[in-house]
This record gives sequence, C-alpha cells and structure tokens, in this order.
Amino acid sequence: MKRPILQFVGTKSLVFMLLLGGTVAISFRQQVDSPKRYPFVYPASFGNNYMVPSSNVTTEEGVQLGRMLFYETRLSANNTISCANCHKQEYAFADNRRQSVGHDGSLTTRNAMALVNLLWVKQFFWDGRVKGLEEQAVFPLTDPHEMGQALEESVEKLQQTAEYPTLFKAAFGTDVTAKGIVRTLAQFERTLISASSRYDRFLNGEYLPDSSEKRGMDLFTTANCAHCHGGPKMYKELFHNNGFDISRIDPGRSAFTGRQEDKGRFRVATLRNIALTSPYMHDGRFATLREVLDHYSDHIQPSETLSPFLTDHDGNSRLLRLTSQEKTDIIAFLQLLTDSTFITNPLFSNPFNVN
Amino acid sequence: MKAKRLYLTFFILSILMIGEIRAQVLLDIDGDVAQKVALTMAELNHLPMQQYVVTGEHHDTITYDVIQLTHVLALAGVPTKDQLKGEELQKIVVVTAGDGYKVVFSLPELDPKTEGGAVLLAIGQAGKPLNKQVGPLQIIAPNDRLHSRWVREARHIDILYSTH
Repeated sequence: MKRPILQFVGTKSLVFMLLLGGTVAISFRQQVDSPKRYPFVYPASFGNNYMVPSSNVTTEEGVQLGRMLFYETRLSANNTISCANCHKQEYAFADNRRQSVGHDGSLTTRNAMALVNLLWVKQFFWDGRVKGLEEQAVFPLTDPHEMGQALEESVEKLQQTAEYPTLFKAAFGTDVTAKGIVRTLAQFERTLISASSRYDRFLNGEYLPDSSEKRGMDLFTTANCAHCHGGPKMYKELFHNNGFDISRIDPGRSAFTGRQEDKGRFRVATLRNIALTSPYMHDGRFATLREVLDHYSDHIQPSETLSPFLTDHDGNSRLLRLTSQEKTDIIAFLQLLTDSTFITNPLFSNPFNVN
Repeated sequence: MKAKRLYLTFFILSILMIGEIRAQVLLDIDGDVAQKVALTMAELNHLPMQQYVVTGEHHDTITYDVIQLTHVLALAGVPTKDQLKGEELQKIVVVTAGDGYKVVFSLPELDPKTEGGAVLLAIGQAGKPLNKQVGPLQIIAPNDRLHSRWVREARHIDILYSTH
C-alpha cells in the first residue's frame, strides 16, 4: 500500500519546506534582478584615495542609464542640448569653445572642464565649490543659462518615455526620480577613467620616449610643474592663483569661501589628455599649450594672492624663463598624456548614434 | 513701514557683521572632537607662545612665534598629553591648507617625549604676522626632514578615527 507523502513528512514539515522554497526562490529572483556592481579598473599607481557615496553605489545598470542621460537632450529646457554638448568625448569631455553655449544661446562664464578621472576628484567646478558629483550635476541641469530645466520637469519628461521608467527600475528599483537622474549621471562620470596613454605605457616599461619627450619629462620636474600637476594621475586637488591680472579676473574660489586670500584661486587642472582640451584656463584664454607655457615662462602677474609656488623670495613672480626648445620639449611630453582609447571608447560614446 | 525698514536695515547689518566675524576666523577644528571650534588670531594669541628658530633656504635665520598644536587642539576638547590613551591613540589629525594641500599626523605624534619634536603652529614671525606666502598660520613639524608637512596657510584641522 502506497503511503501518502503527507503521512511521511507531516503537514507542518511540508508547509515549512514550501515556505523555505518560496523564500529561496524570491531571494534568488532578487539576486538575479538586483543591479550588478560596476568594477572600476585603473592602475594601482592611481591609488584608492576616492570615495563613492554609499547612497549611490556604482552599478552596471546605473552606468548604462547614466551614459544615456549624459547624451539625453530631453534634460534641457527646449530639448536641444545635453551634457555632451559642452563635454565632448573627442576633446576628453571638454569643450573646444572658450565659453559653452547654453540652451538659450547664452554663454557660460567659465570654460567647461574636461571630465577625466573624476573618480579621484572631491571638489568640483573651477572653484571647487561643490563636494560630490551628484551635487555637481544639479547645477548645469538646472541653471537657467545652461540646460535650464527643473529636475521635476526632467522627471516628468523621462517618465513619459517608453524606455526610461524600465531603465530606472533596473538601476534603482524606482520610477524616474530627480535623485536618480543626478545619481546615474554621477555613476557614468565616475567611469570616465583615462589611463592608457603613451605615458602609461612608459610607466609600464612598454614605451621609450624620444629625446624631446624625455627632455620635456625632465623639465616638467626641474621647472617645478610637477609640484602642482605631478603624480601618476597628473592631478592633485589644489587651488592656486596662477598669475593673471587679478583686478580683471573673476574672483575664483573667494566667491564662495568669502576669504580675500582665495581671490583668483582656481582648480589646478589635470594634465591627462591636456593636448585635447584646448582652450585652456578657467576662462579659456589660451588657445594653445604654447600660449600656456608662454604665460608661465614670461607673463605671470604678481599679486597679493599669487601662488607661493609662483612667487620668488622677494615676492615677485617666479618666471620659468623657458627657451623655445624647452617649451617644445614640454609640449612633446604633455602630448604623451593623450589617451586615444579614452576618446574612442565605445562605452563612453553617444548611445543614440546609430552608426 | 518705518519699523519694517528698520528691521531690514538691522537684518542687513547683522549679515555684514557676521561676514566680518567669519572673515576673522583663521582655523577650524572639526571632526571627532568634543566641540567644534573656529579660531581667530586673538584666540590663538591667548595660548602659551614660544619661539622656534630655523635657518631658511637662503641661509637666513627665521624666528617663528609658535604655539604647540596640542594646545590648539585642546580648545576643541581633543585629549592630549596624559589624557591620550586607549582608543584616542587611534585618532589621526588631518590638516588642510588654503590651497587644498592635505597632510596627516597621528594624534600621539604631536606631542612626543623627544625634546623639541612637538608639532607647532606658527602664528607670527618675530612679533609680526607671517608673510603671505606661508601665513597667516603655518604648521611646523620639526622632525619632518623634507618639511612636507610644514603646511602653509593651514586652515582646517579634522580629527578622525583611523578606521583601518
């Protein structure tokens, strides 16, 4: 005689097993559906001195969505511009114009910064007034002369599309939200890592610089450029007045710190991909690297807040007095920092381009 | 109407005065401290002062007016000297300069047993304010061979637990 299974295991045990099975199935499904953590890949020499906010862990889904929003014109008031209008991949996500053009045709007050290795940046904009990429993203999105659209309106527009609600659900488990928009943009921007230039190959012993590049590399150190720009990332989070006519320039960092000592102080820019990010300086005043070197060589203006590293013992400008050949050599070195894989990486490109 | 105008004037004046007071703050101490403080030169001048003499890079003699950094931190309730024990020994001191330059000390190393090794805060030079290239406040770490932690224009100090 066959014994019913219930008799064998007991009713209670069966209920327990069914519940357990259900729980396992649900948790397995959650595991399958939950966003996958994005692995940052970079040279060990870059170090781990960065912090991704725990409220915005970088995930594959978040990055993918962020890339779409980076190129999404619906985030602007008249659906004409996106982040990529001022941060163009071919220029290492800088703008090739002195001042960028907003949705209303007006010009920005400062030059658009290159978006390179932002994972290691803690204070954003030329004056470092904002901490964190999430907060940074709000400014260009909502500024009346940049993209000019309230986040709530962007939420509404995206929510009405066929694709975005699903993508937000996958990335954050929610509908389209204002927080989600800035978080996903920050996630994408953190992935913009540039570490495959000829200089990187040189550091790995895979590239032999020619004589001009080698001289430029040595000069970069002996002329003290490395003091503010050095290290494997070619970036240090510093803010200096680098010697423009202080009476005529914008107040720089002092506008938000309120401290007179910060007048004319701006971010020291990364030199990664610097040959691609012309024009240079916070106001895009220099069209070429040669003009930049001419400035440090011969035209630094003394002032109350001039960087001490550009000031001599007597309080005058410390001019580099470079020869023409030396400038050529330094530029040859700077060109080693161009990362052609960065500007052609399909993972960073416009996903809406069909070709 | 008159009262409204008066109130507005008072409000604007208050903002201007607060701005003035804030402008005088030279050093903030923040983080894991008993009380966060924002110190002016007048407050720093109340601390025990001594002189520290160094030979400059041009072989000139520089006499700094200095106070011990532990005395400055004590204003924020940071345990120093005999109170420094147990978990407090795991604290680090992050000093940030006006240009963003950042260095770290361990809390115990600020006050070593070695004579002359204590970390100092220079607030003047032979009775005058420090020159603008290094001042108004500069950290002096006597045991630093390369002076890498002689932070010019020291502005913020954060006291943190080393979490690793």
